[in-house]
Amino acid sequence: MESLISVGDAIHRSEDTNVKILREAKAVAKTTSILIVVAIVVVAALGGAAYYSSIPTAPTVTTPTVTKPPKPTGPLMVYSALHEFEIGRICSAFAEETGIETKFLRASAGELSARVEAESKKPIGDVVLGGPCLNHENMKTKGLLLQYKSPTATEIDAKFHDKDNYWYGFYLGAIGFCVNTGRLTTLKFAEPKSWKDLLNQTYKGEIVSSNPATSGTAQTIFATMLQLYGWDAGWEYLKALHKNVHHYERAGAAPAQRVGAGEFAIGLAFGHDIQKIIVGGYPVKLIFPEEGTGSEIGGLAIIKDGPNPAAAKAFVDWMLGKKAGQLHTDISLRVSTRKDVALPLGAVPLEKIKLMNYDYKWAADNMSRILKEWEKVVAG
Amino acid sequence: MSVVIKTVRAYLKDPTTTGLYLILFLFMLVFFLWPLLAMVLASAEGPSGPSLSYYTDFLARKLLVNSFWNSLMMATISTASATAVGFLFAYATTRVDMPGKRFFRGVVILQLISLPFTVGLSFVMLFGRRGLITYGLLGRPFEIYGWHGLWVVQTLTFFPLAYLVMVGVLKSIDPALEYAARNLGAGSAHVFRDVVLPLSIPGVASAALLVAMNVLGDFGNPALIAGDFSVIATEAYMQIVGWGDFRMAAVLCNILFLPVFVLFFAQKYWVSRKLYVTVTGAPTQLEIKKSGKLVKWTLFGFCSAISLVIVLIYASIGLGAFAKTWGVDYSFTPQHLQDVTFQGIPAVRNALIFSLCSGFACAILGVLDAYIVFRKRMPGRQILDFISTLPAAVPGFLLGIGYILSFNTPPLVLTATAYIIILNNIVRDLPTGYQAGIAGIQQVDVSIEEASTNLGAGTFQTLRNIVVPLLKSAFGAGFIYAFIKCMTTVSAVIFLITPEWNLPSPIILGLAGHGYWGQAAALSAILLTIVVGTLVICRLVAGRRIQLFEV
Repeated sequence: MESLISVGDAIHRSEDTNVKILREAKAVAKTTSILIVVAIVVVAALGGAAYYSSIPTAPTVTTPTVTKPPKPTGPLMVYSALHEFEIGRICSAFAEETGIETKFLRASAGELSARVEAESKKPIGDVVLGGPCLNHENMKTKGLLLQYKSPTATEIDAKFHDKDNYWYGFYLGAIGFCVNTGRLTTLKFAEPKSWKDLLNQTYKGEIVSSNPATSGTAQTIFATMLQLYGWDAGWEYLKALHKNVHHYERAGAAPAQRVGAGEFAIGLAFGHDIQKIIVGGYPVKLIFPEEGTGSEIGGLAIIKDGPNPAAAKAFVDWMLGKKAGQLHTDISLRVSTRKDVALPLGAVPLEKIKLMNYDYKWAADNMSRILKEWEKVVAG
Repeated sequence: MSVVIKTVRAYLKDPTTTGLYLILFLFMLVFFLWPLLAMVLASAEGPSGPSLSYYTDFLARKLLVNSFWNSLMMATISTASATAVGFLFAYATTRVDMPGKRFFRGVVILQLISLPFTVGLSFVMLFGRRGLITYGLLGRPFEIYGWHGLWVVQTLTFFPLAYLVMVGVLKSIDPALEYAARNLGAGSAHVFRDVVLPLSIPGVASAALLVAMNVLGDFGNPALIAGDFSVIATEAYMQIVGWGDFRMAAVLCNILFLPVFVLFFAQKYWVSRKLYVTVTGAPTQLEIKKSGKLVKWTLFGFCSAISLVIVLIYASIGLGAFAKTWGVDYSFTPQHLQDVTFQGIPAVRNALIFSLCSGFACAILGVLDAYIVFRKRMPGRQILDFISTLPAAVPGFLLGIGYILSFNTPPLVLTATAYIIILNNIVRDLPTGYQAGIAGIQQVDVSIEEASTNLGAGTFQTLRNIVVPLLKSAFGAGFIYAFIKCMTTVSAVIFLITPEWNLPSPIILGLAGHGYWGQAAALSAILLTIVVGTLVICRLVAGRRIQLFEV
């Protein structure tokens, strides 16, 4: 009897084991198939990703045999150093007129040229819109830009363009002081009239500027001083100025904003960025230094091997035109390089400003040397 | 030899586990360890072959060396203050019978789920040189920019992390111990000093290390508040965006990672072992002893003051979004909201897509990860555990730069795609999903799974029929945590965004840095509404089933 029970048990047990093995086998099969599916999905996703990201380098748009170029389509990727909302307005106007979907990323001019260089193996952006042309000149030297002869460019004085057609100037600007009159009155400080005045010790901690590593504005300011006073005396000046500067902003227009809000008394920025603050209703005054000041040509260029050269060319042609020029000047108060663009109320024509003989080519060629020297000054 | 055979056999016996194990391992190898390695390789490469020239160059550049010491200094003082505030908050809300506890917890949660640099932005608006309070109400200009401003901001930003850790620790200290001490004649101060404090010291250390790792890795607040006080995070950023020098940025990251790694190791293998949580047996029914009036109201005052500041922070974001020009004219305008729509709406849409993807992925991977590590005695699970927790200690910007360096060139080119941002977020948020998974796994009695196995179910069946249904709430918690973190992250993605795949948090930081406070506040308000809305909806749908923030 006992043995019978144990035999029965054994049978039961073996049945159990069989069922277990069967189930296990099923589960294994199921698992394996799921794993394979997962693996396929992962591989497909990664492969797809690699494929799509490799597209930009493939010259899909340039078909030389076609006599009539196809109508460019989107998306167009705009890198821009202008203000966020200005870029938004310009891009949506372009998209509306041409039907080309347009997307943008804002960064300061120095940041953009570093970015374009870093991405040179596989460019992401199509055009660089705005910022002092010393950055465009720099990118040209490094072979990062596409040579393109825009038909609209002939409507603009050739002195505002790169002679080899790598970039075009579409606006002009001059460095000025943004002065908060209210704050100066409370502090009982005199208004600065010249570059020399900025070294006055009473302004300590009241001046805000921008960082030449990122901002094209700051690069222009630094190059201005080094050209105005010469290399050695220029650095002496910048060192002395550094003692009065509270801090350096990443974006070139930010000092004007900060002074407008009343946080600081004096900001160094481009005149049009300061004018915008004044028009916005802030108690701010724009002063151009007596010694003369540096100026910029705002550049527009196509990035070499960008994902959408056809749309980029269409954008450059459009942007250099009268309609876009007027729109840009109206919203930004920047002086257009086009003679036929009317200046809106509040903008300052460049003829009224004492400009120094500023050489952007020198600035472009010496910028990395200037940045290295500047880091030493800041470190003290 | 026999060990190898045993190992292989162990793997072959359970193909489901082995498969999952391999997938997780491979995933972390490619998307986490490889970028870290790429950072080391990039920094150790000279003009001709391997060299340490970038490191010697770093030592020669005073500004960069200063930023390293500044980072350490800031981490030390902010950690001390944030941990202290977190501890007092946790002590007050768990062990003192004071009014308004729910409100205080709500305030902390709000801080946890918002953009990490909200405090920086609103502090400029409230307490800055032309702040609404310092200048507008008190009429005295206050210098917010600099290390002291950053210190206060970092304290307020990161004390909730310390709070979360401390609440868990303080809750687990058995009130019976306190009763015993009191019965032996100790006064309340005595009890605090000799019972509560010693028992919570390991928790304090754990909280402090968590805060320190986060302060070292923070990018947004230093960018807004620090002025000329440079820290490693902002300098590494500057190296890339300004100088285009990826190698020097890699050097800075590696140098920063060293102390963080040591802290992480200390936290994981030393401090957490000393936690006394496990000694307590069954929960006691004893109520917490009433504390003295003086202690009670002092702590109440303290918590109220901190909460008031935080309420002000969010009020200023709301007000700033609609005030015409902050500091000058506070009349209502919808202009800022309109300004940010062209770029903001697609960016918010991107953020939602990315957060949903990485939320799901983190929740699934996290639960599976926890299951394998804690339930399966597979060899090598400690390694998996280690690499699943380590991303929490890696500063965000480090992994962002690492991703550019690794996925910029074949074999795997991902830069300028949505995938790179999603994958980066998955890896960085995996520890949260994993922690949620562990918390869930530990609540499920292992005997249920054993019963399933005894009834003949394989790993896959057990996983499907037992573990997954029981871990629904852990899955939900992991999803919500990862979703929120992904919505508000900035330090890593700032290197990965393109015109096509832009995100709201870098845009807000850019606007704030540009001085466009109104527009920055407007976009912050939109983002915060979405995140809070998600949390509220989740509460309404899941009720108390999903334990969020354990408070």
